[in-house]
Amino acid sequence: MGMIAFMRSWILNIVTVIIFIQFLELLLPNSHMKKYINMVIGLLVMLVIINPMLALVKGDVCIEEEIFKTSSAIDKKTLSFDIDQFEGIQEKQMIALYKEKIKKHVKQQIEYNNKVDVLSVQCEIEESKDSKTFGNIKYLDIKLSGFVNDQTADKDIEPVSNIVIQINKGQKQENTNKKNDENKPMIKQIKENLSSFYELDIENICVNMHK
Amino acid sequence: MEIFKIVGLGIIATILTVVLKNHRPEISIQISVVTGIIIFILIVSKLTSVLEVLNLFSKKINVDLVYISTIFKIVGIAYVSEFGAQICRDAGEGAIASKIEFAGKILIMVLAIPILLALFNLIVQLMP
Repeated sequence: MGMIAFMRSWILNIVTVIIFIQFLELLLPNSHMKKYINMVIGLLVMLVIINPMLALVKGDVCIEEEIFKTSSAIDKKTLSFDIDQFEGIQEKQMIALYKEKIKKHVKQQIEYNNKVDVLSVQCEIEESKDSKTFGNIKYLDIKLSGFVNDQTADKDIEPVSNIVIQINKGQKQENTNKKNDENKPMIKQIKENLSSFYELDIENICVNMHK
Repeated sequence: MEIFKIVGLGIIATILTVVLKNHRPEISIQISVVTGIIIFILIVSKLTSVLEVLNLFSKKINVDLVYISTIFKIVGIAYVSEFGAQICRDAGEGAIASKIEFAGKILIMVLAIPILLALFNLIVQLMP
């Protein structure tokens, strides 16, 4: 009785698969793909025919599980390959974005506190992921333009006194010298602010003033 | 009747493309792409019902579902890649079309490898 049930399920399996495949052949596009699909279909028919034989000889063996195992192994490999590739690109993008944010932040901070224009900010950060200080700033190079904002504030007054000063040039030079002297404590203050904010050594911050 | 809709659409699109081909070849390609997509959308609801019935059928008769889903996937890949390749070929880009077909073949192979290995293992186990 067991034998007949076995034969019944086997034959039913084969017949179903073959009917199914005939049906699918109708759906197939008539192209170069057809031979590849036919190959796969042939493999499937072979599997369906042989599979119960194994059950007869060796007991229960789950073919489905094996197919699943292999396909998941392939998926895993492609995924790990993809991840390796993506990680490099992503890291670079992340570091670039981070640098951009630091630059923006430094610029905003200086301009807000000191009434100067920041021309450019260059920063170097720790880029190796293994290091403990990953992401810390190593070096900051800031270029300021001299007192632009302050001058615009003064400009309302200056045109009036401009004519007077033109006669007496020495006074104007003195004026600019005075400004340079004024800049030094400001630069020092900027450096101190930045070094306390970013926990960065004060020697690693370079601030230049362009006149 | 669905078939009249589809055939009518196809004929109108063909006439339009033929008329436009000499004056605006770029628009004729776009028309053919859009027509293909519209026909596919019109037919996809029928296709899903057919696939559902087939799935039900396969569950009833205790055929392993892995085979069925694999075959469906392969047919889908073949169809989509054929669709893309055909459009590229119509636009005169045979090289791109053959690359699309190549990609489709490789994807089919990736799906086929587990079956191949399973068959191989089966035969090895059957050997005394």
